[in-house]
Amino acid sequence: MAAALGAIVLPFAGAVLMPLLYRLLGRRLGYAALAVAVATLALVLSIPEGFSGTVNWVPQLGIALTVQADGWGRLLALLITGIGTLVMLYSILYLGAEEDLGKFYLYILLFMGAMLGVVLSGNLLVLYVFWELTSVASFLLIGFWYTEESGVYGAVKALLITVSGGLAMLAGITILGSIAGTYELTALVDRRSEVLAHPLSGVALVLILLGAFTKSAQVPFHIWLPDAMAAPTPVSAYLHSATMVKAGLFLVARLWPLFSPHPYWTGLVSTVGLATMVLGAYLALQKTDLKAILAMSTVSQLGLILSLFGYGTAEGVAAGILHLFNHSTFKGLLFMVVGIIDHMTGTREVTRLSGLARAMPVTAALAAVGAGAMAGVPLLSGFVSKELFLEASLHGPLGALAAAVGTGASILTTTYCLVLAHKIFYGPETHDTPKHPHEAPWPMLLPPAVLAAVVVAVGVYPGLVEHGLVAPAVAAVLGEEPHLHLALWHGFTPALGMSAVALVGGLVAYRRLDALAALLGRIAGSIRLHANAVYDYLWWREKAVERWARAITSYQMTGFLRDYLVFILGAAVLGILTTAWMKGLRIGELNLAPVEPHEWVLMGVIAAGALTTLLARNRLVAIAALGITGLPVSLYFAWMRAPDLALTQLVVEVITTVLFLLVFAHLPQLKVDPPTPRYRDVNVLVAVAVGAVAALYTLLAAGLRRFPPEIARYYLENSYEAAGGKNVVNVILVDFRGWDTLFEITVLSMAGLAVYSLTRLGRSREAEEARGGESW
Amino acid sequence: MNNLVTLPVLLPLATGILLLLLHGRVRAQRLISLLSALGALGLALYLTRVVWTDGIQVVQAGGWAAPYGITLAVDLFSGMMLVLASIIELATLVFLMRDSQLEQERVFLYPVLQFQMVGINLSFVTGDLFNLFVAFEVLLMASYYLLTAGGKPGQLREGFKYLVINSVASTLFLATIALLYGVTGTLNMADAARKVAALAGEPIVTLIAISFLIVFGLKGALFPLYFWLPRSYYHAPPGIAALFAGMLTKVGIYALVRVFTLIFIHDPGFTHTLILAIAGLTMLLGVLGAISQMDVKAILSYHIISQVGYMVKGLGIYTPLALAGTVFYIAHHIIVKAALFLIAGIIVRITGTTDLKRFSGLLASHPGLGLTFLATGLSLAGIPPFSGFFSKFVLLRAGVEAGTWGIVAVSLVVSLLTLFSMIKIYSRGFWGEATGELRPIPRLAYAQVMAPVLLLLTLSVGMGLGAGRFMEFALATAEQLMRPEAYIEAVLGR
Amino acid sequence: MELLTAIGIGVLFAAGTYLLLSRNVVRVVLGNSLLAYGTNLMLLASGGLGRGAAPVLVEGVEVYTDPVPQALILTAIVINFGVTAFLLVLAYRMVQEHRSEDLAHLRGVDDE
Repeated sequence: MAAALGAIVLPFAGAVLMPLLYRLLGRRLGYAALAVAVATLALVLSIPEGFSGTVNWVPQLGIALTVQADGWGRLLALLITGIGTLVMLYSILYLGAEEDLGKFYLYILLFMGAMLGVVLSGNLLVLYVFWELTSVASFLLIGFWYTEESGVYGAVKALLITVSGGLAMLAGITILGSIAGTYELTALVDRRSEVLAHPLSGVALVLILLGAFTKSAQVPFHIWLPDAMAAPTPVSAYLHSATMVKAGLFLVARLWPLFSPHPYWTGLVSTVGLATMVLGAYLALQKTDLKAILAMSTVSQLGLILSLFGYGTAEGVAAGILHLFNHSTFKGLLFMVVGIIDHMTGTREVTRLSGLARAMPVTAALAAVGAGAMAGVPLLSGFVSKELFLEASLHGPLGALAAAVGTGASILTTTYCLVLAHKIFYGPETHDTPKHPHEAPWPMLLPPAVLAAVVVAVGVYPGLVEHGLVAPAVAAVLGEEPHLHLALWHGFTPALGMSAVALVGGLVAYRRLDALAALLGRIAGSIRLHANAVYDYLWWREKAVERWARAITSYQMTGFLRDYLVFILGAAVLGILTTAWMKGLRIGELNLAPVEPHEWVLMGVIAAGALTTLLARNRLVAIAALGITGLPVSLYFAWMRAPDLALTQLVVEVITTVLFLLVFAHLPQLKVDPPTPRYRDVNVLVAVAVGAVAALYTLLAAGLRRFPPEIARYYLENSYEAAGGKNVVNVILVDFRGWDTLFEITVLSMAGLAVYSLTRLGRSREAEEARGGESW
Repeated sequence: MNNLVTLPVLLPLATGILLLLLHGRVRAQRLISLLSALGALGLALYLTRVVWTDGIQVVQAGGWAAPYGITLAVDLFSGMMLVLASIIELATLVFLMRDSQLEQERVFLYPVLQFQMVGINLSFVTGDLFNLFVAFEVLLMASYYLLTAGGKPGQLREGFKYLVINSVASTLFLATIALLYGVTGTLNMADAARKVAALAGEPIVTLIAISFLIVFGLKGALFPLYFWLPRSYYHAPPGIAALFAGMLTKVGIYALVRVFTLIFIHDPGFTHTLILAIAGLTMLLGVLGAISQMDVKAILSYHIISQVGYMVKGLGIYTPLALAGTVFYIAHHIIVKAALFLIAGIIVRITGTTDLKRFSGLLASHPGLGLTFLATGLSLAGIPPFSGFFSKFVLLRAGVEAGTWGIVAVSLVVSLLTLFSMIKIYSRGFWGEATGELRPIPRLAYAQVMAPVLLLLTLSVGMGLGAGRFMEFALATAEQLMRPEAYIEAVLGR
Repeated sequence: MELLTAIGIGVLFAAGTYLLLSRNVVRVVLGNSLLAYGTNLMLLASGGLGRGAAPVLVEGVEVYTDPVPQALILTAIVINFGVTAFLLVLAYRMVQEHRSEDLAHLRGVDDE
């Protein structure tokens, strides 16, 4: 357990230390990061095979740090740390001293830890936690050059798309958890029949797959990956080809034992995979930026692997896993090569690069190995897995159709591989590049060379990775020992034929590249792909989502107090009346007292005063009318046996009126625009409705007493004996409910402070303005 | 009987009065405020611990037995709110102390801050509905002062609207109290719970319930009652805004949860379903408001509304897990929202503005601030492993288990939109070419304003990494809320 | 009696609300005060109207009115007095600063 947890925690700990170490080490920081990567690799290697263990995290929710280091998890963990080590080494030379290395290594180690968490986690929710962290790290790395518009655009796009998928996935996992009662992968697989029989299992599957598809850049979510190329090239090599984009595939394979018998499985997974494969290869041919070509080729290859997992066959799983491994190595290699080209020539434009082999022979050889592997040239690793792919497609549920689509896409793949390996290095020499090309220093060539060695070794002798890496991974996914036989030569099989077609077809197409480009251009003209347009329309700055939000918000948030009150009071009145109506409230059963003549008079005066206040044209008249309304209220209190109230009301009334006069008599009479009729109608409607509700409340409060006035009786009985006062109201205020009074005084004191401050400040403002500067 | 329960209110009251006596002696005021805040924190923690071990703590003010006197009661929910309030008080104080100009403008800044805490804490401990009204008035009066005493035109204007709307809310509160007292003859919450239970099923009970929903919905800024919030918080001075954003609406939410788990629990098909619908609309319209803005403070203000929706959502679903989600979310939100408003305050200090059109590229000069903002913002958006993720996940799971698919869908969309607007702030304000004239803060002052932010962020991370421990607390709190009999018994003792 | 009081309170609330919805700052403040009258009367009504003597204990009197609402109203009046005083000064300062008392022009939308 210590090794597994250590492998996850160490990169995080290293990440946090990076900004601090940066001050100490300066541009040598890369070596520290390298050391962390190597140590993590060692820890991963020391995790016992098939290890699993659990540390509780949130037991109430079934969230536990379960480590599931089976063959599949270990394979990915090795890729993450192995390629990670090479990328750190590569970055040391790639990134100049002027870059903010502290942040770079912080982010990239953060990613490494998060990604290890994804692949080693045996609990779906914990997997999700790390999954989102990889999205965040990717966001930070894409936006590493944050002053560039392209970096910002790419980072935001990648984050929004992957997190949308992530949220869908979270919902799917939650549903799955509520079906099965667990988020533990092994337990879920144990309850497979129960899960599959549940009507919501399809929803859960689709939602989780959305997460996997967005992360692994499947159509139509592939659009973030090309824009992610704004990141420094080591990042592209590491996250956006070798590891992070594999997370979706990893998850699909993780769910294979649970969901592969589901009726939606092949239809969703393989179809999307094949479509992505074709589209990616097609788009790769349209690009002229080397990194863009590689990005689209990554999309295509990810689709290929995904389609294999969708077949639901052991053969497919084996082929997918082997190709995933191979792709990580050869694509990482190719990205590093492109980084070297970019570094040494100052451009990545295919049209400006040609005949570089003379200046950069080693780089040329490395490119040939990488591109050859991707095209499926024999003796290179890609050949073995591509054979398996074609074979598995042919035997899979989609049969010849899948095989044909695969072969077709492979022809396109071969074509752009030739562009990468041949045109750039062996075409006619040009001197068009911003920098004079020369070979890279050996430490920069070392990481791709290591990868190239792996590619060749696996290509020549596939057994090298079969027993230690691939077979255990396949076994982990299938849940049984696979009948795996990786070999260079399988005899004359249909797959061999298709491989040959792909290679030869690609060669032919490359020879006629201009014609092909023209043809593709015509196709592109007739079928426009709208995914990017949709994204830009919705999300990118000042676009639809913000516009809609603004329209909705500015409709209600007008800044006009009257509008706010109309909304608030309107909603309140509507809520109250609707409730009364829906619940069948009746006011017939009220217990009412008779009306006496002077009560008519009092109420009449109150109403008249209120209406005068309302109708007064002159401010002073209105204030006077308000005072006049207060007097009968006071009298009413007296009449209603509330002498203290009457007195207090009277005193307060007088003071308030004086205050009103003091404050407003000194202001000029300012003109107010006359309201429009509709404005006034709404006001009248709201006012009348509020009045009606107030009347209703009064009736209910006064006439619907349902319990004996127990508390009042207690006060009346105990006021004298227990509290020593005969004026019960006073006793309540100072004793029974003294706690109210204490804070009532607090309010009053504060009001005094506030009035004092506000008036005092009026005089000190000029002084403040003279002082100048923004006060905050 | 435990007189400890009165101290969360009496301590700030006494401190406030003492500070008034020390008028003009700012250093002494600062020191005493700080000590008082620390004391309040210790007290709240201790009180919560006592509740955790010994159950609900009740004291009858003045010794008059419930329901005749005023009852003060602290259960786990109140205890947690008291702890959070004192944490935010502490953070605000440390931040404000760097702001000498604010002190000059607001001569009674420190005393009124204490009275603000009196109102907030009293709302959490009182078991009496009219006393709750008084508590609201205390906290409102203090907030009027803190909001407007700077005397800037914007503050006066928005303060006026804020005051009028809150005054209308107070009117409604009194009308509702009149209705409740008229029908049941009591003001004590526990007693009202018993009497309402006896009337269960009658239309009048639901009517009173809806009235309380409107009253507390106004305080808590629910749809469609939230209009007072965005612009007034926008104009509030930086440190003060953090206190408001963290605590004030939550007082309304606290009261809402209290009455709808204690008193009005007999018609959940109507009341709680309505709450759920309101929660969805609040979440959605709040986040749309945030997206529509181009100013950090305005964005953050609208997010308060959106997140209030999340809290109320748990109440609407009304299962133990959902209420635990509400509890978790409240705690998470208070901490994170206060931190974000403090960050906005620091941004103002550096750039002189929070308008995203007028500054950018802050990461180059202030990387620490940038990454702190990003982490806090991601926590707000519910990205793991921060507190925001777990609080949202608990609510999501509660929604899935209860089969409330509409609210589940809305909450996911709102999460994405929240992330979008946090990223908008980050990518516009911190990324891009550095523009605008920066006024660097002296090192020591920077450390002091960053300290509370980092403290709050640490708490958010801690609540994420230690989600197991906090979830245990949240579930226990929810269990307590779902079993109102215990509360009633603790108060009425029979 | 209750019906009459209810109508009176309804009128107070309606007039107060109408004033609150006005564009004029002074009218808004006046409206707020009218609402306060209405609320106090409503509180009083919640204790039942006009049954029994004033709640000042006198030998021989058995039936008193409910003293609780009266105590609440007293608290409410004092609080409302404080709020109104502050509201007035605030309105005054606002009008002074903005040189306008028309709330339709005090939206504050543009200066954000």
